Amino acid sequence: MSAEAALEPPPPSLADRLNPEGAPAQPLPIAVARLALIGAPNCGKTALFNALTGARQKVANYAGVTVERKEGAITAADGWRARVLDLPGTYSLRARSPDEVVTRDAVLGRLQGEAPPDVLVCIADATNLKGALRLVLELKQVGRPMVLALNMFDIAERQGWRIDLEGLSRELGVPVVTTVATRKRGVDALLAAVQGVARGPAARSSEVVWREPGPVELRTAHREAERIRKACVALPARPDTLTGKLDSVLLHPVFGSVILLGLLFLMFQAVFTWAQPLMDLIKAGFDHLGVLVGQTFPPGLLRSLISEGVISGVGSVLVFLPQILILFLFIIVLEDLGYMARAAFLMDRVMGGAGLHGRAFIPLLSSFACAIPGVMGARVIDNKRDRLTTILVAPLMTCSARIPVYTLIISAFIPNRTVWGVASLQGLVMFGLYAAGIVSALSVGFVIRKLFWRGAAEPFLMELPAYKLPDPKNVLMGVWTRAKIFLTRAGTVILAMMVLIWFLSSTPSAPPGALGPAINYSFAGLLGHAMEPLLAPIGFTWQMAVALVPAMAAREVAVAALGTVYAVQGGEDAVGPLAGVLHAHWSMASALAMLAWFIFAPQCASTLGVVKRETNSWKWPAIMFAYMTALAYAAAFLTFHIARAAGA
Amino acid sequence: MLKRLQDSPVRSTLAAPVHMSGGVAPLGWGARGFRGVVTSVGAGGATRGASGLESSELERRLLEIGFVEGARIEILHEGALGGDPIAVRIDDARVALRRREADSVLVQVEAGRLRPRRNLAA
Amino acid sequence: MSAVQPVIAYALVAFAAAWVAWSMFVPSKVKARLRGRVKLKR
Repeated sequence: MSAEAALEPPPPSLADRLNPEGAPAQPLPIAVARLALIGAPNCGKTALFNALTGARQKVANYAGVTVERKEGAITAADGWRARVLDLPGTYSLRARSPDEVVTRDAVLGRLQGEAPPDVLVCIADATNLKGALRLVLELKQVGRPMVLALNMFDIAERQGWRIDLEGLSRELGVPVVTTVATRKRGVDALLAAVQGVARGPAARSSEVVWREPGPVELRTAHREAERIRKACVALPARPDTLTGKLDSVLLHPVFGSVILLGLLFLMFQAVFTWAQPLMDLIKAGFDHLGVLVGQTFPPGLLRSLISEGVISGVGSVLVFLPQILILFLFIIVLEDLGYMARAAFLMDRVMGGAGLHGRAFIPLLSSFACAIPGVMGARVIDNKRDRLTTILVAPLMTCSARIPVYTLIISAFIPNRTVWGVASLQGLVMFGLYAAGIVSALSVGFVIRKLFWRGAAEPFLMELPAYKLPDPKNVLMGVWTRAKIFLTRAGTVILAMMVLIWFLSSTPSAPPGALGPAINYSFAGLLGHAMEPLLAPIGFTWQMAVALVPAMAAREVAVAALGTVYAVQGGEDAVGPLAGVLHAHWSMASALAMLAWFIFAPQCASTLGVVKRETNSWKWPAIMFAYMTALAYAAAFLTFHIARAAGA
Repeated sequence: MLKRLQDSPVRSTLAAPVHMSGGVAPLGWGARGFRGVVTSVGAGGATRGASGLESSELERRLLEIGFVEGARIEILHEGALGGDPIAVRIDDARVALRRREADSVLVQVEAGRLRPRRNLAA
Repeated sequence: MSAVQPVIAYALVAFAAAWVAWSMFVPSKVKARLRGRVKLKR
């Protein structure tokens, strides 16, 4: 039985079972209760979720929206079982981002395809109670059974906060427990409290009332929260001074920016250098697998499908796994440290100049590895227009799939010369291509905001959380979750797309005795030949046009496709010989035009697929494809003609 | 104080920071070290409508993140370019926001300076 | 064996096409409804 089957179908609500037409409450049967974890961002909610469920987690999406749904199973010592839903973090039920809408609807039981939770577990950062108290007060109005968990209680104790737990529980009318999620402290007490309220009288009320608070209600809630805080919480004897000290360096106008740049440099080094051995290993593994298939299968279509479609296709995407994992390792560590909010603060003005939100910085950074995590990362942006702008420009950042293409053309056409005494010309061109990507992303963002979505700029308003040392286990768990998502995609949709692209590139097969590479006779070849007149003005030969078709699978497939078209054995491995062939066949102007093309070209079916999924409509991937193609064409056209005029 | 600043003909060419002691000023005008007590949230500030939100929505967001009448605040940090955005301590929490939004928070100033800004004119 | 290969290969291609179409072109709400119905029947 799969994990999914074990978790479904959803049992009837505990409240319904406990209250069949006013019958006396029966002893709780061994049934599955539903808990929902809710809390502000940075309160350690995910750490508590991990502590509760261990590895028994399942990540999926909520029906109809692309918000991540994390669910796990718990079995208490006495056999009591529960399913725990980790709701997206929120400060209040007045939802703005798609994530917060899911949280609100889940709490209110309005979410399509989700049974309402039996018990709400509200999690608060014990060192930052004021905001959490407001959330608790708001959640109380909903009327569901609730438990308040004061998380990170060890830090609160160390800082000398004195919290009157009984008073707090009395004032709020909910059980209060203390937890230290990273050490699994307080988990049993939390579960006991949850079982208590699940059996209690609050479980009987099924009426859910909540309405969006206005400014007056918010001020009242503030006053009430402040009153409770004053009554139950004494200010710490040793307040957190570390955060202030760190901030005075990390948010310093000069040092802060220098440190941010240093961190980015380190991250790039890690993504591109540390990942290399692992990538080589994965690549060698897939090559080996291809050889193995070649030896065991008799020649034929099926063998071609398996070795050229499935193995090399999926392999060409899977090689990015190390880069993506290292990238996410950095992002999760910086996020858990509390640094990401500072990075957004430092970058807000630069991003704002391009019409982007400060928070767009992180997704755009991810896009240097691959646009897919970048597009998915744009979920952190509340405002729909800001989010769409970020999604639309993310693929312009130079993703690592462009590197093989750039490297091939640069090594074939740019002389390996030292300029100005220090810099290598090839390296400079590479740097120029990266810079062109960044500049074009910022300019496109600027144009979108200035021409199409004028005015309505989302306010930049975010909490700067206290710095905390990340918990290694939670970091690893977060990276593992990312790995699972990526592997699942590579094994499902990407695999299927690779098979289709293989089909286009190999069918119909070459007639017997035909000269030239077989791809010439395939649909991809026909398409390439048909596109040739269109691409001639930008200096592309028919071979280049043909290579662009399978490159829709992923940009670096263009290298292998060029190898196939020019019938060079070895494909991507044979950069040396292929570069020589290209040098003989292409003009300098064509080569530069190809480089310019790949800065902008929307050559990645997976990215377009993710954009479709994230925006839930075909409109945005279509717009993205159209504008990127137009830019690519214009850039290649200009490059080709300027280069030719210059005599290249 | 606020009124006088707005009417002053030199406001757009202020070369030296203005020292504050008492009086009410929008948070968005403060320099690093500016501190005081919030007297009003969502009042519109000097640049009403510049923010992309309706003023009631902005007011609610400011309230939700902790800007409430009576809260003690202090500008901790300023961004490198043009001193924007700013990092503000609200009681014991820290919040980052742009000056444009901070203009909607009026502060009874206890200490600190105003930051010279070229575009103070509404 | 060589006669069977194209049959299997094209069957896989058709399956892949159906898969891509299902995951890309069918709205997720429709999918959820269909999945729900399947569950009810079971």
